[in-house]
Amino acid sequence: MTQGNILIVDDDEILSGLLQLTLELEGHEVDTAADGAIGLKKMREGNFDLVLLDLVMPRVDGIKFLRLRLDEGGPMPPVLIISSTSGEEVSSMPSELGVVGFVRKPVEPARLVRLIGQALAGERLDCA
Amino acid sequence: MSYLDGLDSFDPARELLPAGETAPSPQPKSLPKRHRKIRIFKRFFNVIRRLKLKTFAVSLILAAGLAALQFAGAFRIIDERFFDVVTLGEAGTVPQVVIVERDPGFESQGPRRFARLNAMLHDLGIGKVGHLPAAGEPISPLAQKNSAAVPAPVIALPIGRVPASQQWALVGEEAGQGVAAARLLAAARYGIHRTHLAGLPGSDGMIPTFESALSGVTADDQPFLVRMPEAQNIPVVTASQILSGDLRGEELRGMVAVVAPVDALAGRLTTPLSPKSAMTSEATFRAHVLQTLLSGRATYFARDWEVMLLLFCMVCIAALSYWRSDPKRIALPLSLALTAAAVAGSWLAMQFAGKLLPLTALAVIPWLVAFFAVLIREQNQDGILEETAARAVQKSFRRSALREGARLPEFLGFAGQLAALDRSLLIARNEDGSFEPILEHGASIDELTDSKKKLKALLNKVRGRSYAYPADDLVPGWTGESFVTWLGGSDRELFWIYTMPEANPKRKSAHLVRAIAASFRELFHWRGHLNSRSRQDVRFRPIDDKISSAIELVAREAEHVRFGFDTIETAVVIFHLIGSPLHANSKMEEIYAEAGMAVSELSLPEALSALTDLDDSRINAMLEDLALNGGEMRLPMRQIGNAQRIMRVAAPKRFARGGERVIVLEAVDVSDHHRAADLRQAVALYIDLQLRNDFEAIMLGVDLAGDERVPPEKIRPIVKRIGDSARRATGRLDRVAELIHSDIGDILDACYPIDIRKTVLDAKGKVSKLANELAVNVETDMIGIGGFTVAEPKVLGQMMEAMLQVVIADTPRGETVMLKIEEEEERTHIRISGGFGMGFERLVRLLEDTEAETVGEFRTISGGIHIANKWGASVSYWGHEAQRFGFNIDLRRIG
Repeated sequence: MTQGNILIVDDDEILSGLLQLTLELEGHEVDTAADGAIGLKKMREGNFDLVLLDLVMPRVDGIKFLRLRLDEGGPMPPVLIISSTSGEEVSSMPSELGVVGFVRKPVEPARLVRLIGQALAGERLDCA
Repeated sequence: MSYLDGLDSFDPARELLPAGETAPSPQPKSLPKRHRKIRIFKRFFNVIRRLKLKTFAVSLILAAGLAALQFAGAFRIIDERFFDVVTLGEAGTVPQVVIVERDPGFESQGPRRFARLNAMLHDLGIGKVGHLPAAGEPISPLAQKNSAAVPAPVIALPIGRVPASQQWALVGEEAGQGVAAARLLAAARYGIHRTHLAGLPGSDGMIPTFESALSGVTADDQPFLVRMPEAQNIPVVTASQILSGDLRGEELRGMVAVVAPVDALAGRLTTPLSPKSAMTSEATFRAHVLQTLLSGRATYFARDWEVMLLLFCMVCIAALSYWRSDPKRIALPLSLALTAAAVAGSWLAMQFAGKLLPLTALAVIPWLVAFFAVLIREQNQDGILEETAARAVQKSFRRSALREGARLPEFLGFAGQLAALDRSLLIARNEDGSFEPILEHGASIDELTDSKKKLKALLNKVRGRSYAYPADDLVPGWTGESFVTWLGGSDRELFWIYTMPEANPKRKSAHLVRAIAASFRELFHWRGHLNSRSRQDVRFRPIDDKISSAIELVAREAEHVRFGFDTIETAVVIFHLIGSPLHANSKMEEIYAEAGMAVSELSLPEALSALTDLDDSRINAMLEDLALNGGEMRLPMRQIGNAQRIMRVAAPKRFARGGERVIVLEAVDVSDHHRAADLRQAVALYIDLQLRNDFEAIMLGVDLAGDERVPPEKIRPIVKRIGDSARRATGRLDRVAELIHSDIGDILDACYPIDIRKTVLDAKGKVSKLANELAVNVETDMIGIGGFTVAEPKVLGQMMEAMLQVVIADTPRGETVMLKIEEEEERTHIRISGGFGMGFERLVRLLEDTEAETVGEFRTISGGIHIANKWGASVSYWGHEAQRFGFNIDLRRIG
């Protein structure tokens, strides 16, 4: 399985922590950001292979994060959105934002791990 | 005219056919003989009814009565006075009579003087000569003549009744060579001599009167009226003048001479000429009689059959004139016209037919017929009105629970409970003076005072009064303040004795009791009126009283119904099936007004078209179905104002089957339901999204806890995180549980988690028109996707709309207003800024509503600020002169 450097952008600290632990057990390098603003900062500082992005967040939400990142012009790794929303917002997003898939919470950890693996391998995800 | 008139001639088939088409002729049917008879009788009855038989019959009786009075001479004095007035004023005719006065010079001559006078008069061309002998004068000299060529003079001889007969005879000396005639003076009529006779019945036939003999008129005993115009010239000459030969022949040719002694020229008679001239002499009166006869202008009284016929005709004309007209409207002009016609007819008859008609009776008839026609109509109308009023009152009472007297104690008992009376005793006083308990609440009739006198005195004092009297003497055993009040009652009078509560607010109870008693009294009063036809004492109460009572009762009921309607939560308007509005309650009137319409101006289809989105064809189809089958339908209603409503269109089946069909439009405000639905949807969404997060964490934690790769020391923190997630989920559920389980009314003003972005964009959309008009750009800095912010979206939306409006209105053309949303961990900020600038102090005054020019938007903002505080939100504002101003709304964010 392909390992990668993953950035989790989610304001839910408990969930981020557990997700980080799960992915680290799979051998990934994982960093977390509590909202979009921190996430942007980390993106500027580091080099990530995949971004796991929540949509609803304070200060800079997921959609704004993507737009700001696009505006900054830096490299945009594949983005897997994991959100509790219905995902309507994602369907209308332009491809240059880098979104490769959308997973609605709650998701089985094994399925999430598999999807992350597919995303890192550049495969087509078997999600929406 | 009866309101039934014309109904039998109405043929619906014919009336409703299109123009140019005729109704098919009904198939002739052979009816059984009995049915034919019934039909003929009905037709006859209808004809009679149409002819106003009652009016007609009364008029005929009236005519007969008047004729009887006429024959009895009751109207003679007026009729003859009319004759006097007319004839006195008319022009005289060419004199045909000359009075020859036997002057002293003549009387002093010898006994042959009469022969010479008769001869001279003949020579002068006098046609006939008549002599009025002086009292006791020998008759034979008067009739002397010198030659056979001189016609025999007429000698007036006295008359006397033939004993034991109705006949008359000339009495005294015979006329010799003269012609004897009766010297008759008809009896004065009411003191005035105006009639005369041409003859008298004698044993050998009619005895001519002096005047008929001179004029040549046939002698009969029909009295006639003598015309005595004031302008009539009756020449008088003396016998000496005649004998002297001074007079020319032409002057007297063809005339009749009445030779009268001096005493016959003395004024003795009262005639129509009196009192303008002096008393009339016999000779003058007879000269007028002769002038009347010779000019052929004698006026006779109408014969009995003529009187009857004339009165009958007048009655018919008057009665038939009211056939198709309202007597009250035409009575005066018609009576005046008929009276004028009677006067004119009488004048014509007098002038050209020589008849004096029964003018007084003829003139009275139109007025009497009018009086009876109006009277009968009034009676009929009163009957109809009374029946209508009774029906209206019956209907009112039928709806009223009080129609059953047996339930009175139940109602009064309940009323007593309402007023919290300690004791209450309702007693009825029977006609024999005994008392009967109707209701005993904490009291007994045995507790009434034993003193019958005291009891009777107090109750009589209270009777008919509308206020309560202290009744401590009436019920000596009762503690507290006792009162007695009269409730009325038709057959038995009711008295209510009660004690005011000690503990409860006495004043309010007393007021309530007064109102209850007044209400009962009023209802009994109406009941009394309703039963008035069966009660002798009020049977003859004027109909106006009854009608006004009924109208008042019905109006009062209508008022109560209207008040009741206005308290209904929904807006209602009732239409008659033909589409005209009957009644709308105040809420519906408000909706109409809000939509710029008026209830009275719109028909049912127009109202439906204006209030809903249905097209005309669908409206017509719907109404047709409702009219035919009854039932109800619900339609979405156009948004008028802020409220969201649905329209219920109903045609109650109970009415749809009968003739009184109505269609009811009911606008049901569903805004609250929509808001409640929005709230619950928002809460559900919140739970859905938040629990998904929590379950995700729990699932990950559980998965990790079971993963063998996880070192044991990390298990505890993982389990702790699972617990934290579960607790967080439970907390979130607790937070919204109240909103989910509460009633709609309790949660309508509640705040709940909403997507703030939607509310802000809605508010921005509502002011976009204003911004475009003022060329102001509204720039937004929005979040991409919103979390959950706690607010009540309607209030928040209105407050933001008002804020944007005041800022946009203050912003110069081409400038920008900023609208920004920021979300932090636990707060959401909405920032609105722009405008030319407004000093902070002025802003404060406007928001505190202390400035005279405070506009509605600032009041909305101010109200919103107060409500927002309840959500845990805060609203602040800032401003500087010429340096923009703005509002910040800080709200709680919960996820």
